[in-house]
Amino acid sequence: MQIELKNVNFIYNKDSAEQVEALSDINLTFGGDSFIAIIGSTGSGKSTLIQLLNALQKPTEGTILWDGEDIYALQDSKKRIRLLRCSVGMAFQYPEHQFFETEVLKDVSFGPKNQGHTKEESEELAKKALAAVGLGPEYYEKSPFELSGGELRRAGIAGILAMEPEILILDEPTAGLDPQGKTDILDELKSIQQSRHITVILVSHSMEEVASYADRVIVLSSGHVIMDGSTHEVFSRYKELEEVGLKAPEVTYFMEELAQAGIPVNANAITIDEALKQIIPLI
Amino acid sequence: MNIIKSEKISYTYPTYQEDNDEGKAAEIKPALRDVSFDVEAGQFICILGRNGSGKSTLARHLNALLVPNEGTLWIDGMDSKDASKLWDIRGNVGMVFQNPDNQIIGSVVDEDVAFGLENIGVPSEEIQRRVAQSLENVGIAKYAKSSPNKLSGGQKQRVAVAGILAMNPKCIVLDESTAMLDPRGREEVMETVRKLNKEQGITVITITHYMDEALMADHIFVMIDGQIAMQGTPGEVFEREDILERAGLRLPQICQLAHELRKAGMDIPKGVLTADELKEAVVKAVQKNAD
Repeated sequence: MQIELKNVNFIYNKDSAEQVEALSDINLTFGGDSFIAIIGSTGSGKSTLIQLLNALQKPTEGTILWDGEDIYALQDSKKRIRLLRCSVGMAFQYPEHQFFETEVLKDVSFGPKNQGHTKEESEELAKKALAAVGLGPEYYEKSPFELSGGELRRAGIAGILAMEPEILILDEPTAGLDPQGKTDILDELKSIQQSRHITVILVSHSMEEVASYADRVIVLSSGHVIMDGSTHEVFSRYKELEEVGLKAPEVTYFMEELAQAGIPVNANAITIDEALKQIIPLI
Repeated sequence: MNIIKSEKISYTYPTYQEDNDEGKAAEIKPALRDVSFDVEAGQFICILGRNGSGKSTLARHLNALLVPNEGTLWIDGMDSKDASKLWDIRGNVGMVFQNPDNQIIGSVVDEDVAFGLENIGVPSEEIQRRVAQSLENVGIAKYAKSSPNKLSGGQKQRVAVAGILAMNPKCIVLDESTAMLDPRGREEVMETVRKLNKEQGITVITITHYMDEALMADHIFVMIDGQIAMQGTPGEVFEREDILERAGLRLPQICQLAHELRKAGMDIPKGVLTADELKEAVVKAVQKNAD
């Protein structure tokens, strides 16, 4: 499935003194088997953009096409939007704050049940989702209060995953987690994306994370898309990234410095592994 | 001189859990166990550890938001359990939390920074002087009359730091204050506290999950299960892979690269922390190889 934004503008509080143009002239296509990162400084429009993708916000101008159909122009628009929200799952920041059930499995089954699945089907989907984020049967009957920060975050993500979205959007899924917890979640997301052949859209402030996991990066600045390309393409333009409050991973700068010191390497390495591949042959 | 001295402090969160089926109260794990350490005035300390390892519990002891169940914590010579010293302690140790939107209360930046001073009855001329100075020190002076909600995350955190600075503290504690910020915001906040530490001698204690921020510290505490499992300089700590592994931590990218290169047989000295140090080592090794 595919979501396409065409000439989309979004303005908060239009025609009032507080009017803020959050997004202007956005043209983007999302879908297929891909891991996409959206980066940009605070206030660049990232949150507004992802809210448009599952129709939590309606564009002020422009169209949103779902597999070629304008979701707001259809006769049965309301029904279609409900379906869209099932296909495009969104894990907000701190999804664990949205727990309300007393046990993990009950909470994670809530989404599919709400979609119209039977209790049994819902629990089956929930178990599958929990397994995908590394939480086995020993967690089913635990109270959310018994989980660690990382486990809670994963259970929160499982709640979205259980609805089997074709596009999974995550707003800073690793914020506040320890390094081990961060790696665990991102590894799981990557493997979910690859085994289910879905689109994962990650909003992140960690350039190292983006460099290691994404295959496409979209850069927002003041409501405009200023770059949209492969992860390597985007980070190779790190001088432009710096102008908008972002940067490349630490290792990219290091390779640039090595090159300047006369070592035959180039600065297109964005992960430790890529840097090693360039340096090790020299010895 | 030690600004903080901790003598075997332990802390367990109070719970109100009902007895379980066997009629026994569930076993509650202490959040801190026999933790002893010293912080010298003017030091820059970083506390690392997994979620749930006791970092924030420890931080909350440093300005007596929590007091130990056992052991004693001395803050600038005052026992944190001494209720009569509570406000002196809190005036000495200021705390910046994670979410920039949860700690600003004023509708104008300078009013927010003045809040603490107004609360303790400082004369208004003195307030104005101290607020202006604090905003200057964190680089927010030009936004003094702005509404905080027009500021970026990094700017809001610096306003929070200014609010603490205005109280003339000896120590600032940052509990994951950069976790929600974009790269520039993180740099702004860390650069601000580094400057306050170097130029004004304010003791800084940061808790973070960003390993590169730990490199700024003079001294790192690594916490595992409510205890300080290791302490040392960044050079010492980032050589101890065994402890880092147990503590769920990662090496900063440059250290990781240095480590991998050494494993691959390159002559990289131990204790390399910065890009410059690593560059020098790699250049030397490559040249030696070419000779």
